[in-house]
Amino acid sequence: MKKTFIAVCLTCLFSAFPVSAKLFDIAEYTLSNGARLLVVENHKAPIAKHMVWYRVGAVDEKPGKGGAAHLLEHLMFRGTKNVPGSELNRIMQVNGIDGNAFTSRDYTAYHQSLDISRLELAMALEADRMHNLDFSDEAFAAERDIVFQERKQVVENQPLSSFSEALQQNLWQTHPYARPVTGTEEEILNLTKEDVMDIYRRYYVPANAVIVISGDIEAKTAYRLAEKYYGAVPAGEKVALKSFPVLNPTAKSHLQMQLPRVELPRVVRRYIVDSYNTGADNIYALSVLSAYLGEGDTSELYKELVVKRKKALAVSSSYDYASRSYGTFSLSAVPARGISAEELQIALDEAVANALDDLDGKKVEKIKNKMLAGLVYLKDNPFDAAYIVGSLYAIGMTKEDIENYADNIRAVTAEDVKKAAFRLLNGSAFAEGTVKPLGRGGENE
Amino acid sequence: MNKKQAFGAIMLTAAIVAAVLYFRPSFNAEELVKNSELGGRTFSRPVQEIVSPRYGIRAYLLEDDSNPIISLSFSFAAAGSRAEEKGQAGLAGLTAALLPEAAGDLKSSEFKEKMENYAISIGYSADKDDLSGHLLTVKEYAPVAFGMLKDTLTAPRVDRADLKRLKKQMLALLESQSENPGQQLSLTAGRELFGTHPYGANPLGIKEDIENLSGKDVKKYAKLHLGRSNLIVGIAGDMTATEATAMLDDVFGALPAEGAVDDTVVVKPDLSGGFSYHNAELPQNMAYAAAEGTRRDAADFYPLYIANYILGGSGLSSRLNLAAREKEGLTYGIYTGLSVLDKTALIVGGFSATPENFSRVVEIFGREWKLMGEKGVSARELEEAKNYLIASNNLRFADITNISNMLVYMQKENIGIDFLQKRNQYVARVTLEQVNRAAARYFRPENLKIISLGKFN
Repeated sequence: MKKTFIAVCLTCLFSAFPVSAKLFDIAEYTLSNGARLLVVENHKAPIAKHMVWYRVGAVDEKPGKGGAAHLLEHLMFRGTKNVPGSELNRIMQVNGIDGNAFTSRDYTAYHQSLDISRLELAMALEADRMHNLDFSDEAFAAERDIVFQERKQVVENQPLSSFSEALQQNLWQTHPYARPVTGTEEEILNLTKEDVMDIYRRYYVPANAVIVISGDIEAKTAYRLAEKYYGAVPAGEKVALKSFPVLNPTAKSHLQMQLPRVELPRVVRRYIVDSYNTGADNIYALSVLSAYLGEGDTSELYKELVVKRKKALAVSSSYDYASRSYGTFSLSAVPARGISAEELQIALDEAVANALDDLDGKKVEKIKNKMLAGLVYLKDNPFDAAYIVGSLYAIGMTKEDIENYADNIRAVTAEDVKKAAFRLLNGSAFAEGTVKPLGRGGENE
Repeated sequence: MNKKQAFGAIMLTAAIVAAVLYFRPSFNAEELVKNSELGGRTFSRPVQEIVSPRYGIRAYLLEDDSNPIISLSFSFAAAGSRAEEKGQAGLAGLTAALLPEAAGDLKSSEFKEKMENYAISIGYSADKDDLSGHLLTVKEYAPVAFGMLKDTLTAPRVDRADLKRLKKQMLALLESQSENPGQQLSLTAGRELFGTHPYGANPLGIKEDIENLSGKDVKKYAKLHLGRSNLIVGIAGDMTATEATAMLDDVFGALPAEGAVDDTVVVKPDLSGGFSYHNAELPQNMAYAAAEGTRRDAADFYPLYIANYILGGSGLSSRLNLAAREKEGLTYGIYTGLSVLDKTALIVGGFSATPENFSRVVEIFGREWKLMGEKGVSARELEEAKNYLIASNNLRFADITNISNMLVYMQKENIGIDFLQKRNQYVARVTLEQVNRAAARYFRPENLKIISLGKFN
């Protein structure tokens, strides 16, 4: 009886996320000045997330001007002609708005979690700083010191961040993805007001902006209000699509580091693979491959290396297709006590090969179902929805492709996954790195 | 009116016009909010207290059928790391890790696969005070989810291979604490403030103890500490009271009637010396500040909460951030906050700064702390703080897991079933006098210790 119940359930299981269902039900608009607006309605509580994404990040900085996009993000809180000094922060505070911002290699985003009664206020403030930025020399000097301290805190004080940064440089070589988003210490200290204003003038224009509103508001109302507040910002010049260098797929590099304050060795391998922008057809098969290999405790690599062979304490894979240039596929592992990093690297290769040998249609169906089962939770938190939708759209993904994620995953076959794996392992540049405790030869004993 | 007078009058008029022009806010936030067409909405879903028919298990329920999902949070009071016996440090955490690993007829990989297939998430965690659990499921598979949860509580397997693997992972986690200077500092601070009291111990445990823990220890710990007497439950989402009470009996009914006995003594932090430093080769020094605070249900909780908010709890606009970050650019961030544990109540704080900036930030921290104690806050600061706290109240409803956790918290801290409706009134009625009295009581130089890690001359 029990068995029958499970079998019946497995066939009906994924009605939790029905076929052809849209992931978010996004409403998409273009404002009169070219700014894009995306609205995800969620009426569970009188709140919303309001975000403005600019398609500019560390990749758009001029050589030697690393950290300029990030410093600009900080300075956006330092005053405009209409809202001078730190007044923006005070206004947000007294209105119960939790706001912040972040910069990545591909984009910069400003966001506020707010009571819906404060949405118009936030829109007015964001629209204002989209074209009226005006900060003092003192504010610039203080903020440059702050980002210097930020880099010390977030990168230099964390040995694994330093390792990760070195690995990125090895992997991306001359590609702008090699640059740290914060810039190097020397770059930060040499940045000028003109460096950041240059980015502001060129990229902070409506045509390069995506406004995302997710929460307790009708899409049409959001559109009308967006036109009211953002529509007044002059359109500015269109930003040309950036072209990225083409990388040699045979480049392979190996990095070995020993760092103070590292206690456990780590093994990481990052491959340069297709992203949505370099090969949209391949991203779903790569996503299934990553889930199959190393996402979660039921994945093949975890079962093989952690549970069965006990070579690793942890192992995982991840795939990031949401980037303006190439995507990244990563494998990471922590060796078990008494296992060297090199031994684990060999075991990892064997485990990947075995997992691919075992891959068949049945396993692919199972993994796809697992990937789709949890999608229904995306309808819960309006703040998360804004972030997901914004980060995908900002790198150029269409509304349709964001919405049809589930159907695109469903369409992946075992053959597709095998092909993707073959290309990953045989035709992709990669950087492999190990980091070990300093002065202990790296054996975790 | 002679020429001179006329000139004077014109100058005066010009000055007034200029002053008006100068002070006329070109961006009027208040008007914008007042006139917003989106105002006047509230979150009005009530919290009900439900009682299961058979075992009398109580829970708070917030029904919300806007999404077909259910979040269940529960906590076993006093079953956290402070309940561990000598020689068993790490047992609460190990128990929390093993309960959802495998249960009933299903081995580890089978149990996890079943959870994944039905999009069910079940997890446990232990902190210093409690051992807590959480379940998230879609309504359609709620019966499957609750069945699995029941198995984790009443039929955990604790298979030998799982035990061995999870112990190794815990030991690795213990080692990796030294990789993170923030964690290192927090452990150092715990030892300095609480000495041999359980709050002074590493919540992850001790290496030698973890190595010796057995499957028997885990099962015994669960049996002795997880009972109906110390259980607190919060449910949010698409579930009716009838469904929820039946679930309570079914899932938690088989637990022993008696759970953990709370025998930990109340403790005050040891703030002697006011400042301490610990040398470490770090690019940037770090500081952890601690002081005595107040309990969640104390009369001066909201006044202190507001004073703290103004000093270091309000992000970029806090006094500390304005002085140390915005004005002088000395640090990426500086904060203070209230931390209430079962047996102690603290005000905590922290910042990082390079060695050449560090002593200046310590000086600013001490100066602003003292100033808050001596002069308190202004009427305007109080009003602005209240505005923030009231206007941001609804943000807590964004996430269903957050809501069910909050329902547990409301019962644990005994702040009333009507807390969600009344909370803004509690904030609104705080007076300037109350805030300044609390500020004078807590923000004294003697009630502060800064513990630091890094390079010192």
